[in-house]
Amino acid sequence: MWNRLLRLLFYTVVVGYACLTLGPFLWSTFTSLKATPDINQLWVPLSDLTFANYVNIVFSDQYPFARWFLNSIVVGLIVTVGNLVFNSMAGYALARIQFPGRTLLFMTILAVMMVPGQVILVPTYILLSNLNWIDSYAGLTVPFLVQSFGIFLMRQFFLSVPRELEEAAFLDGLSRWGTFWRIVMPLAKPALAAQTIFIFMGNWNSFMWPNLLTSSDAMYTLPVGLNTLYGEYDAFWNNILAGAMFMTIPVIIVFIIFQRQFIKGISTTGLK
Amino acid sequence: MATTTSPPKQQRQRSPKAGRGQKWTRDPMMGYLFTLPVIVSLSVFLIGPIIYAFYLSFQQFTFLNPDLSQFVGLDNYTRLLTDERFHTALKNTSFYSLGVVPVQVSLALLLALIVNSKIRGKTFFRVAYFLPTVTSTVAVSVMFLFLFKRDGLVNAFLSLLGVEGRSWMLDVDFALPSIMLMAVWTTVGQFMVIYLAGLQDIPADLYEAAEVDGAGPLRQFWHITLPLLKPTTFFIVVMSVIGTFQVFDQMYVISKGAGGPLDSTLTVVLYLYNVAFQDFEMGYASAIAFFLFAVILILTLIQRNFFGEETRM
Amino acid sequence: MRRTRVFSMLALLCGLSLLVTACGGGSNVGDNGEIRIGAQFSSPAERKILEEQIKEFENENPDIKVSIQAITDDYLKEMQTLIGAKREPDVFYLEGMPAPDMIKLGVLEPLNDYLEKSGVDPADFEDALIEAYTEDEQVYGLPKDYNTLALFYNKKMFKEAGLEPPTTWDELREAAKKLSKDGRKGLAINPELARYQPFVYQNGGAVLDEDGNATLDRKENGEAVQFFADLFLKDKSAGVPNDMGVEWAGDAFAEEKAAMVYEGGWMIPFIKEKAPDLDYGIVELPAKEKGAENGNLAFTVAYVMSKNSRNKDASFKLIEFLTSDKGQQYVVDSGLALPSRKVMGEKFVEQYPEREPFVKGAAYAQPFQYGDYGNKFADEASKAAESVVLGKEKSVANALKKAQQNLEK
Repeated sequence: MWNRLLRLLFYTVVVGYACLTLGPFLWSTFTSLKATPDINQLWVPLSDLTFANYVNIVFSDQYPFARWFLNSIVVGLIVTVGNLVFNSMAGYALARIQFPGRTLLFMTILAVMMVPGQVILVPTYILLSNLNWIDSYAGLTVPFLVQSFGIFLMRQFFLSVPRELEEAAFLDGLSRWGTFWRIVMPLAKPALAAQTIFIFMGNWNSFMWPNLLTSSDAMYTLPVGLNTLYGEYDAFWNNILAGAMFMTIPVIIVFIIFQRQFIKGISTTGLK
Repeated sequence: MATTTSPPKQQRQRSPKAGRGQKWTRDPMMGYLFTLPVIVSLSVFLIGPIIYAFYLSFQQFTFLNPDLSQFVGLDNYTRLLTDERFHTALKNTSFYSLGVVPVQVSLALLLALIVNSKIRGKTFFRVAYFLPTVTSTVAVSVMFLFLFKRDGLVNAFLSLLGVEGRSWMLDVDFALPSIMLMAVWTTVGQFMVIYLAGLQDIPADLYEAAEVDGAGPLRQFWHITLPLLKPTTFFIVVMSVIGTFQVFDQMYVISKGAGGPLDSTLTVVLYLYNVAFQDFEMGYASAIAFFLFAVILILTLIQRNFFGEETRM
Repeated sequence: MRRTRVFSMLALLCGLSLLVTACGGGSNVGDNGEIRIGAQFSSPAERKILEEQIKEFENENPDIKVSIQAITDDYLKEMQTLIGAKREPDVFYLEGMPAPDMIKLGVLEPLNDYLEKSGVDPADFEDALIEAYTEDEQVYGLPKDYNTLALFYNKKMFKEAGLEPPTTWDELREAAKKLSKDGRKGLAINPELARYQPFVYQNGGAVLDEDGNATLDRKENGEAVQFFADLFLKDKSAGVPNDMGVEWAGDAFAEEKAAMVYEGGWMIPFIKEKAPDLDYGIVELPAKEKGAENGNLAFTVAYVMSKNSRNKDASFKLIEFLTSDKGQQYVVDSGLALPSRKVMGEKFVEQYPEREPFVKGAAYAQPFQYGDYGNKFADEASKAAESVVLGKEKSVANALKKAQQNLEK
C-alpha cells in the first residue's frame, strides 16, 4: 500500500516536472500560430491557427531573418570545427606529451576559465575595431575558436585512454601527428560529441558577444536579431514567438539526435 | 577546478621510465606544435586583453576620442565604494546567486536521481528535462515575458486560485524573483546531466553490498551516493556560482537593457555593460570587471576549502 | 618521416595565419561618390519616406550613391560603438538629448562653412530645434523633423461617459476617474520625465535654470509631480503600461485598456496597423487652468555629418536636400512627424487639420534636451517619479531631492 502511494507520488513529480519544462514551449508554439487580433485570447480553435507569422518573419522586408539564420549557422559551424580541432590537439598534448612549460600552460588555461568574459569585453572590442573586424564573420568567430573548458574536457578524456594503441602505432613508424589523427581522434568520438553539443549550442545561443560585435542588421546572429525584434515589435507577440521557435527547434532536433552520445561522452570524459 | 580523484596511472610521470617511454613522452617540439593554436589564441584574445583591461582600469578612457584619456590612479576603484547604482547591482546579483544556486543544485540532483532510476520512458524524460537548457536565453526570456504578462497564461491560472495577477517580469518587487525562477528552469537540465554522469560512475556493487547489510534507500543515498558525488557537487556549485554572478542576457532582454524598473534587475554585468557602452567610461567599466573577478575568485577558493581535499587537482 | 612532420607543421601554420587574416570587416566610411546614411526607423512607413527621398536625391545627383544603414538596436549605443570603431556612416540621425555630448567630443563636422557656401539659412528652421544643435554660434546638425505631445482620447468611451475632451488639470482628473472602470484605466502613462515634464512647466516649474543647471527640487516641480502621482495612487485612474500588460502606452490605447494617452505623431501609423477601426481624437495637452500658460516637449531629430567622412561635400548635399522644402514635403505627405521648416509647418496643418494640436504644442514646448547631463538627467528624473508611483518612496520632495543630489555629484 505504502509502496503504491510512493510510486504514485514519484510519478506525479516526474510527469509534473516534464509538464513544467514542456509547457512553455507548447504554449509559445501555440501562440506563434495565432493571428494578430487573437494574441490575447487564451484559447482559439485549432482551425484558426496559421503559419502566416512564420512566413512573415522569414520573408519580411523589414528585417533579414533568413540572413540571421544563415549567420548563426555559418558562425556556429566555424566555431565548432575550430574548437574540435584546436581543443583536442591541446588536450592531447597536455595529457600525453612532456614539454617545458606544460604545467604552466595548463594552470593558465584553468585560471583563464575563472576570468569572467566581461573583463575583456572592452579591450576585445577595441582590439577588434582596430583590426576592422567589427561586424564581420572574422570578429564573430576567430576570438572564439578555442575554449578552456573544451581543452580541459579533452585532456581528461585522453588521460583515461590506454596508451597501448598509440605506442603500437608509433612502433609501426607512424609519426605522432599521424597517430593523433588516425588513431587517437577516432577513439575520441564520445568526447567529441559532448564537445560538439556544448560548443555549438553555446555559440548558437550566445548573445552578449554577438550583440556587441555586430552593428548592422545584416550581420546579426539569431539571438541578437530576436532581441531587436522584441524591442521593435513588442506588441506583436505572435511574430516574436515565431522567431523564438525558429531559433529553438533546430537545436532541439540536434540535441535529440546526439543525446545518447552526449551523455555517454560526459560520463567518459571524467567530468565529475 | 578539476575534480578527478586520479588513479595512479593517470598521474603525471615525475620519473619517466627509461628507454622507449621517455622518448615517447618527451617531445618539446611536438608539444609546442600541438598547443600552438591555443597559445596564440589565448595570448591574443584573452591574456592580452586582460592585461590591457587592467591598464585601462587606472585610466579615464574616452573611447570616442582616445586623445582625451588620462591616468587617474585608483580613482575608478575608489569610485566603486560610493557608487550607489553599483551597490544596487551588487546587491541584486548576490541575492540572485543566493537564491538560484541552492535551488539549482538540489533540483538538479533530484532530477538526475529520477532519470537514473528504473522508470518507463527514461529517454523521454531526460530529453524533456534537458530541453530548456538547449534553448537560447533570449528565446526563453521572451517566452517567459509572454507567459508572465499581465493577461498571460500564468495569471489566468493564478486567478483560478484567487491570486491577483500582475506583470511579474516587469514589476519592481517581482521582476528579479521571476527571472530567478526562469534561470532555475533554464539551467537545471545542464547540471542534471553532469550529475547523471556522476551517478553512472558509482559502482553498482557498492549498493549491492549495502543492500546485503540491510541499508534502506535513504541510508544508501546518504552514505554512498552523496559522498561519492562530492566532486561532482563541487564542480556544479562552482559553475553555478560563476554563472549566477555573470548573469546578463536575461536582464538585458527583459528590461530592454536598462535594468529597470527602478534598477531592480540591474546586475553587475549589466551595469558594467551600460557603463562601457552607453556612458563609454571604459576605464570604470574595467574596474568593475576586475572587482567582479576578485569576487568570483574568492568565492571559488572558499568553496574549495569547504569541499576539502579530494577536489584538489 | 621528418619531412612530413615539418611539412605538416608548415601547413598548420599557413592554416592558422589564413584564419587570422582572412575575411576582415567591410569597408569603412564611404569611398568616392558613395555615402552611407545611418538611421533608425520607428515603423516601416518611416523607412519608406527616407527611401523615397534618397531616390529623388540620386536622380538629382547621379554622381552620388547613397546606401541606408538601418540601426535596430539601442540607437545611441550602436552609434557610439560605430564611432569608436571609426565605422560610422557619413550622415546620421541624432536626437537632441545626446547632441551636446557628441559636439563636445568633437566627432561631428561643424556645418557653418557649408551653410554659407550653399546659402542655407538656419533661421528658416524652428528656432528651438536648430538651437538644440548649435554650440558657440556653430551649427552641427539640421533638424529633419520633430514631434510634440498631444492628448489622444477614445471617442467612443468619451461619448458613453458623456464627456468632452479635457482642457484643464481638473477636467483631466475628473475624466480619468470617470473612465476608469471594468479593469480599464482613464489614462495610460509612464512615470518618466518625457511625460511628466509638461505638467512641471504647466505649473510654472522648471527642471533646468538659465545656465543649464539642474533644478529638479523646486517647489513647483514637486506640486506638479504630486498631481501626476495622485492620478496613480489616490485616484487609481492612471496606469503604468507595464502593469496593464502592455509594453507601452500606445499599445494600451490601441487595445482599449486606456481611454487617454499623452503621445506624439508616432501613434498614428501604429494605431493604423494595430487597431485600424479605433475611433479616436487628438487635442492639445490640458493646461493647469483655463487660459494658463501651457507646456509641452519637442522631440527632435537632426541629420549630422561625421567628422571622419571622406566625402563631406556629397554628405552635406544630402543633408541639404533632406531638410529642404522639397525633402520635407515627403514628411508632410506622410504625416508621421512635423516638418522642421517654419514654412512647411503651415502646409502641414492645411493638409492634416486634425493634427493641428501637435503644431500648436510646438509654440510652448521645451526641447527634450538636458545640456551636458544628457541621458543621465532623464534617467534620474524619471526614477524619481517612478519611485513615487511604484510606492517605493512616499515623499515627492524627497524623491526629487535625491535625483537632484545625484545629478550634482
